[in-house]
Amino acid sequence: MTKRIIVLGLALGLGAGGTALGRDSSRLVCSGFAELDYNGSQEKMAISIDFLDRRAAGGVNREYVLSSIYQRKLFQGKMVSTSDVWGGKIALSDGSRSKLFVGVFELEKGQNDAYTMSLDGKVNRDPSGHATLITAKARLPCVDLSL
Amino acid sequence: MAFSLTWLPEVLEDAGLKVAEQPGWRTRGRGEMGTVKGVICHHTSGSAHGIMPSLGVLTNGRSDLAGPLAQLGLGRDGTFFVIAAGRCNHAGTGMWQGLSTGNSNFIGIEAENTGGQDDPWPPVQLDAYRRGVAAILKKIAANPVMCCGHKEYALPHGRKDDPSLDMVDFRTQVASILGGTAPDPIVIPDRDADGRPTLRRGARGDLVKQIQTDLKVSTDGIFGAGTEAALRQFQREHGLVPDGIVGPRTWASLEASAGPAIVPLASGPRPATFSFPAEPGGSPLDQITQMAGASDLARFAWRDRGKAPAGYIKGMALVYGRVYSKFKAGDAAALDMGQKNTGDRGRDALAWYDDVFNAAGMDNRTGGEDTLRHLFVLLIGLGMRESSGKYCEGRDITANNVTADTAEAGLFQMSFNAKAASPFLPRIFAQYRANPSGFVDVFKEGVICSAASLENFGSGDGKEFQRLCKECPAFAAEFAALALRHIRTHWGPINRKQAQIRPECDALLSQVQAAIDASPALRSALAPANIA
Repeated sequence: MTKRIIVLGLALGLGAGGTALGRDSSRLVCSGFAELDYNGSQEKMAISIDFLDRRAAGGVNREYVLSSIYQRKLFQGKMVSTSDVWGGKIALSDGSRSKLFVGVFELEKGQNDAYTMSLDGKVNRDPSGHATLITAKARLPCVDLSL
Repeated sequence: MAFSLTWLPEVLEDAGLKVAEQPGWRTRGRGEMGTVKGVICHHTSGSAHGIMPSLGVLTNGRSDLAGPLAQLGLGRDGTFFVIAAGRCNHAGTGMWQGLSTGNSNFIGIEAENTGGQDDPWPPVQLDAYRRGVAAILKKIAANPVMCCGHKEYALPHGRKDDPSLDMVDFRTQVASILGGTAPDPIVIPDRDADGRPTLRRGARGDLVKQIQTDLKVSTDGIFGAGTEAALRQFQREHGLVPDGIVGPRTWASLEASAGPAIVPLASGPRPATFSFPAEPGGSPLDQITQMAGASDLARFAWRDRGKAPAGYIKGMALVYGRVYSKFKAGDAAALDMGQKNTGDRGRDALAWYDDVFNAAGMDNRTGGEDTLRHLFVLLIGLGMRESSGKYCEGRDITANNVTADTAEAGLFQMSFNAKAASPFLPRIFAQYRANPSGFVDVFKEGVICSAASLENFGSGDGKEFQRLCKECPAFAAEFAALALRHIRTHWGPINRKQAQIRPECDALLSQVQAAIDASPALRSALAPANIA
């Protein structure tokens, strides 16, 4: 067993080379609080979104995939971008009729390559309980996980 | 002996601000500062005319108050004049946030303004004021509340009325800068009315040589510390802000003092003297690999990537030499690569990157060898981002593309589905497939390839494309260079403008051009048929 681990470690070390690996895709994790307008009262909801920017199937455009785990379910949405904007309309769904977020997202690049994801739309803070969608906005600081 | 605030210019310059250091500033002061806790903002109440007419008073003091009167002066054009690195007489009696030792614990900034209704604050000056304060507060790890107006600090209240700014709003703006939510500043125009780029330390090329000729300093084409010092002296002598930057006003003064018009960059920087003749018995290609190995680019540390593998810089210099030779011979694909900026930001990477090229002093408004070279400057930056300069890089495992058409491969992580972007792309594929001479032995230097990275996916032409990208790096580079002009959305780092544009790269490729122009034998040696 120990021998296998050593061999695996050596293999990974050789594969990594001397510099960081390059990648065409980009992966960010953006977390924070959404501000909910709940029947006139302001409430907050914690939200974390995993964002992947990759080449779309045709090779011409970019595909954005947003994922979030909430109430032990995976909510996901994807879109193909045809504009300069790093964002667009998206719906995060668990595959059934339940949606966690419906609206517009956009990523902004700030100083020192720090990214922020803004959300503007509606969220469901209790999709398992079939609650209704509530107007929400959020600005979520992102951690860049791209190598 | 120098006082402790010698970090001021660097902090301000790092914030993108213009800085003019005054002679003797490092040793000027009323003694050493205490611990710096914040900044007190002032206005000079000086003349309504000129950029910084109060500079002399701030430096030397008045009959009733010994100088220096502030560490920093802020001119109406947004230039910070660094006056003193020690304690200054700017605060007087007062208190802010429990501190009553203003001169010892606060840096003083005197912004040029009369304080009256007749002297509105120029936006460029106000923007610089906020950014300068934010940079200092960041340096000393202080909150925006540690910036106050002299009128807020001074006791008894009402003793001072400067600055004539709403300090609550000022602090809000400073906070937004510190929080990274303020828009980027535009301090100096990128170009003057004649299209000449604004140049500063780090720039290279023929325009720098002409500036150096006018300044009567060594003409090496590199805008370094010596050139900057001579330029500041020239600016002082000609009544300009001595910021060491050649912007529109300095261009005009240089032109007026030099006589003949200075050639705009559109005609392109001419290569530096070629200094690597082929050794007897060696390959003619050694000329290019030797100059690449000795170049500044070979030592440059790329953002998030570090130094490039030696083989990448040498190999890309060879590929550029080949494409340049094709361009000179009228090859249609090479001419397409070197066409002028099309203005189509959705397709053409040069159009998308226009602001970045302008900032680097690289003009792509005219088709030709300069634009071709600049395309390869971008391509080399892209390769570092996509693969860290590893010719054998396998697919992007984060993205999970595993079909023949979609699997990424090689230096630029291209996939075969890019081929429809230009009719020349399938032709380049066919040419290299028939004769895969791609300098792979050169690209191997400094690179280790894992077995996993060499795996190709699917079958047919797409799989062959992946293999060729890895085993024939010149193919990958030519294909990518052309595709950059037609399908820039193929690449994430291009869309996000993460691929760097480096002047060191432009300088090396200019040398390659010069070598090829001087040697028909080298042109012949670079041709695919002559590569083993």
